[in-house]
Amino acid sequence: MSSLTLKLKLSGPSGASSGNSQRLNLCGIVPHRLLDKSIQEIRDLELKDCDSPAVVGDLFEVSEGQRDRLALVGLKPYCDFVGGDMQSGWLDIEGTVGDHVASGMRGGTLTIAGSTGQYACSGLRGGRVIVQGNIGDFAAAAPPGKLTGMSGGSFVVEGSCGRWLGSRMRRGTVVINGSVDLGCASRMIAGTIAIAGEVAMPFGYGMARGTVMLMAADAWGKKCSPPGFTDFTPCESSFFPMLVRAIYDHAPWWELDELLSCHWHRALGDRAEGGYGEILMRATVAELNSHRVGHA
Amino acid sequence: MHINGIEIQDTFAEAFPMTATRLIITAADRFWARRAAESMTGFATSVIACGCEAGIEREVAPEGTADGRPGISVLLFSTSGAELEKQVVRRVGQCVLTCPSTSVFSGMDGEKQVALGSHLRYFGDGFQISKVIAGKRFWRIPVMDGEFVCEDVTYRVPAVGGGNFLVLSETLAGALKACEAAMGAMRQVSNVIMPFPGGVARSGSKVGSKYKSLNASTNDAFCPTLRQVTNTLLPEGVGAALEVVIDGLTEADIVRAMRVGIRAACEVGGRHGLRAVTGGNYGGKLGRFHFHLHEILK
Repeated sequence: MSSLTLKLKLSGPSGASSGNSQRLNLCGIVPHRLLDKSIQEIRDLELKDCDSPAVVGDLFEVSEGQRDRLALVGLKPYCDFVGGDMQSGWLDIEGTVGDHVASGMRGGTLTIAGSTGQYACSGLRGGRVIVQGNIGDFAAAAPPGKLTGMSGGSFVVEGSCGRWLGSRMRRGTVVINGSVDLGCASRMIAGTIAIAGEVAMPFGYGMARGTVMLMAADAWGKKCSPPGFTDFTPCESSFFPMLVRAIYDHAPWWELDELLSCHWHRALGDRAEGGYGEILMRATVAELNSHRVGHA
Repeated sequence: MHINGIEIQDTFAEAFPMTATRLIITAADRFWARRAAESMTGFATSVIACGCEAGIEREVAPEGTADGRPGISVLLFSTSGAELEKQVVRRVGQCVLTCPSTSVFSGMDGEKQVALGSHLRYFGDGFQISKVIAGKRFWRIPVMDGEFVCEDVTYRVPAVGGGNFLVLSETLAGALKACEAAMGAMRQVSNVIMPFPGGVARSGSKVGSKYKSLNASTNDAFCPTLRQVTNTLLPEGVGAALEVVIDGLTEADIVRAMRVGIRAACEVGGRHGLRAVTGGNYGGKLGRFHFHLHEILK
């Protein structure tokens, strides 16, 4: 049986489709809330915190399908809090969405065939989020009024990422395939951020704990350590293969054997703040040897 | 009952409840993993004075370990969760943490936790790093060869300790042959350990003593040198008795180990003067698990 599908109407009574002047809060439109509801009951569900009072039926065409798999089709950048409070099941999003994706999400799998706005996964506590496009600023970072950002689960982005990724991130795993703009991992508390593409300087400012992994095969030589960090030095640990496998399980974009056989250089910081966050940079054996010779 | 012409006495082995955990020790290669495991399971033959009973269960291939390196599975048994935790932390701290290149992981799931890295992490003096992978917390403790990786907790389950059988042979040499054959077969059984040296005890004990301070003393009924002065249980012609002791995660595991062990002992022992196999018990007063030899070997 196919997914239960909610397709955004082009023009609803709230005028939501008229542009960015109004926002749609889709928090709670998630599979576990719809499990025991009929089609009519779903149509009558109220959307909370919208600019104008509205129910699902005003804004979406609802098509029957299995309840633990929900598809939201035709979403627009004014749709905020997509996947909010999700606890289980599958939620498939088609379209580019707004801010605060996966806020309060604790379980299940959320896939977005599109891009997202700001604060994506800032409130993620568990479960898995996959974004096929790009993400905006403050992803996995502490949202306004909160002390910590993402606190669990995994967040995989196939595109690129804006500024302040993982700022005050508390726990969980973020994997970015594209490039990351400046401010990544600033004041990061814990967790892991793996980045396949370029990372803009500065990053890691005020980092307390946690791990940033620079996964690009040509990472070596391109990057000096950020201000406040120690120099990159060769580092061996039986934990690195475990970390690599965990990253690969979330995002199998690399050759696993190649990743497992590579070596890592490590920088610790932000020492200016007394932090022990780590930045791991991938290196080949030749690069490792050249480093050792260079420091002999 | 007879197997290969050897009498299986109509009696039972008496065992008692314990609690157990499994740890997987990995290292750069099998040599170092085994050194750590042997060290950790040393002086762990009996809860009477060692705090726990421990032994190597089996080798684990790299594909079966958390960090993809060769591993050794060890089982530890104790009489209480608190004592088990004390022994785990002490033994891992002194014997695994100290061994080059090693890491240690929980080898079982369960409802009751036993502290592991959550205590050992303090060795890191604030430089330790915690990481959560797939819902499990690991500690990375900086050491002189890199990092000691240790899972935060392991788990314990109810278990059975003190499963046993005795081989009664004409000579010590014959008894040793029978025990060696039994051990060779029993080491293939999972979920069990034989905690005594080589899996075998020569100093089987009875409950109590003429000395008030001792709660166990030599099992005089099986001592050949006391045949004339005590109520001996040794058949005529028997010159040596040895006891194989088994700890297992379940009654079924003990039964499996006893079955293959006794059969292997009888197969080889027949050529070396093995006369009988019996079970060690205390009249049913000590433990609630009774393993009747005839039922096991049916």
